Amino acid sequence: MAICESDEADGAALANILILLPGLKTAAHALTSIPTRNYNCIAYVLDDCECFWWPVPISNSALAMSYWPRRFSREETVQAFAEIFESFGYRTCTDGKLEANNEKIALYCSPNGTPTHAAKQIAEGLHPGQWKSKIGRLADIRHATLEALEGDAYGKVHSFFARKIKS
Amino acid sequence: MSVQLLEEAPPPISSPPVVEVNTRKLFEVLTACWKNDLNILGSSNPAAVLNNVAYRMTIDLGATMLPLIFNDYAREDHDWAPALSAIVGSNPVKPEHWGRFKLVREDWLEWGKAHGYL
Repeated sequence: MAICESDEADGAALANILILLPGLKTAAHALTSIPTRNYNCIAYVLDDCECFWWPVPISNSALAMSYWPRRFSREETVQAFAEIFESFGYRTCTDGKLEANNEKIALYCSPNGTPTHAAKQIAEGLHPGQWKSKIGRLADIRHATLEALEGDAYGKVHSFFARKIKS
Repeated sequence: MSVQLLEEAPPPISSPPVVEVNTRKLFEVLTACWKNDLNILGSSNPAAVLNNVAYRMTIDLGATMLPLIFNDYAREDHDWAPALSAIVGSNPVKPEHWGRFKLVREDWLEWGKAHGYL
């Protein structure tokens, strides 16, 4: 059954993502939502589907396009993102291995250390241990590995964060 | 028989030549360039649009672009807020709407109406 209005639309939505992230072809993956501009990857890993989270500096003309909690630093650094994840109960961890009762986030960075993307581990259900991502203004996907999203667009996985699953 | 070639000096230019550009056509070409840019569509950073050359050119063309931008923004939601903010030099979007693209658009369209662009 199609995610978008037709199988063709699903194919088109996924095609854009595969052009952007060619490494995805090497791992199991699936489209899991229609393309939407309503939220981005950071919102998605924090279970918010209504907002674009990004620490755009106050002086940038794109400021209004980004939500970032007021008390947190608007800097594109791993530290700034870590502080946001910590405010949601996550703590830095060493890897992305599936662990009982834990849910994890992986943060990708460009070669210069600037955060580019975040993915969330699927802890339960049909695909435990796989990952889910919102791709920019495009769609949500499920991907079997983190490496599948590594490359020119998102760089490499830089850090992991974990928290206990709320019962 | 010899042929003498006379070299005529070009007439002095009093003002640069005028090249007429269809503003609407230029706007459409520039807009098509960035709206399909996967580096923007695939980025979670809302400021990524500012890295696109065509988008920057639209901003550099300044206030003459405003009626076309507002017309396009009214038709469908796109990343016009950074360009509008850069051209107008202010940001009318309510802070509680930041990051919510639909509400950002509503605030800008309201501003556009209030200032006669819509």
